[in-house]
Amino acid sequence: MYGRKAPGFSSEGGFGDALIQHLFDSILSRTRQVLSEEAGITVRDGTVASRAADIRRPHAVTVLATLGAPVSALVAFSFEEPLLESLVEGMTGPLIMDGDDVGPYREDCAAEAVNMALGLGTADLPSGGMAISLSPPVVLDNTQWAHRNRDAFIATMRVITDKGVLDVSVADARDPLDAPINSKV
Amino acid sequence: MSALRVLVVDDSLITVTKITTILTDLGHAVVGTAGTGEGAVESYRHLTPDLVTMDITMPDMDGVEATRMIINEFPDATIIMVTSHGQERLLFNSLEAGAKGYLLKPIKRDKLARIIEKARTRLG
Repeated sequence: MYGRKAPGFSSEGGFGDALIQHLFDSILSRTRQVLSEEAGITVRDGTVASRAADIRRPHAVTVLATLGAPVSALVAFSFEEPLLESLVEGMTGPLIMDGDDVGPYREDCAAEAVNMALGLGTADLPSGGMAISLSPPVVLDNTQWAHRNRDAFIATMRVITDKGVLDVSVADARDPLDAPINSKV
Repeated sequence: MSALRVLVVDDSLITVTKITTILTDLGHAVVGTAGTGEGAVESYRHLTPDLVTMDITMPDMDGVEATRMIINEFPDATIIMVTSHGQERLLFNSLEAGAKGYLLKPIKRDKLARIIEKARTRLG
């Protein structure tokens, strides 16, 4: 399903390659569905990178959510500004009059798109008969960074769309992240 | 056909706006909104609406638990889950809690209209 998969992509402990690959397959597929149906945005490619030093958060808005057991993954979606603008335009277009301020909807549209992509994706993931919980999405502000703890594993995927880039980072939710992320989320 | 009085429960502003717009366009009246499970239970007590659209993932109490509490207090309540959760286990839990049906996001006008009509038929 991916355009490329970087060599050396591996993990330690229970948060293994198979689960990460499954998770990224689901996220890519459901993100494609949500962006298309909500805003007419086309996903062109999804490229998995190797482990990262920190959760990628280089873009305009970053949304964090957690999938519960047995997946137990912390997932961050970081939206590039042009992609975010297209998403907001697509989601609010039929609902808001021309000239109205879409500002209050910017972060909410990103959060709801993440909620939909991960929520729909719970049907794709191994559950062992359990109901996989999903935390309400949290939008990170510019002062928050999710630095990798010494033993934590973070995998990343870059999703290329016709409107801009979306970076998705996945970490084992059982590997705690250091401050300030835990102090504010 | 009479308009239904609807309580919309979702913690997403854009989703509340979207559901409200569609329901109003269909001739129904959104009499209240809530963004948390606790808020949903409280609003139901005050408004006793004909129908509730209920999200699942929300801060504090989730939509399944809020549904269970409303049904315990108001056994005839008509609640429809409007959620992105596609997992069968969770949808089963919702129905077990007393929800009368569910609609998967992304929300489309036709899908919402159909499930509202089913609920209306049930309400008589």
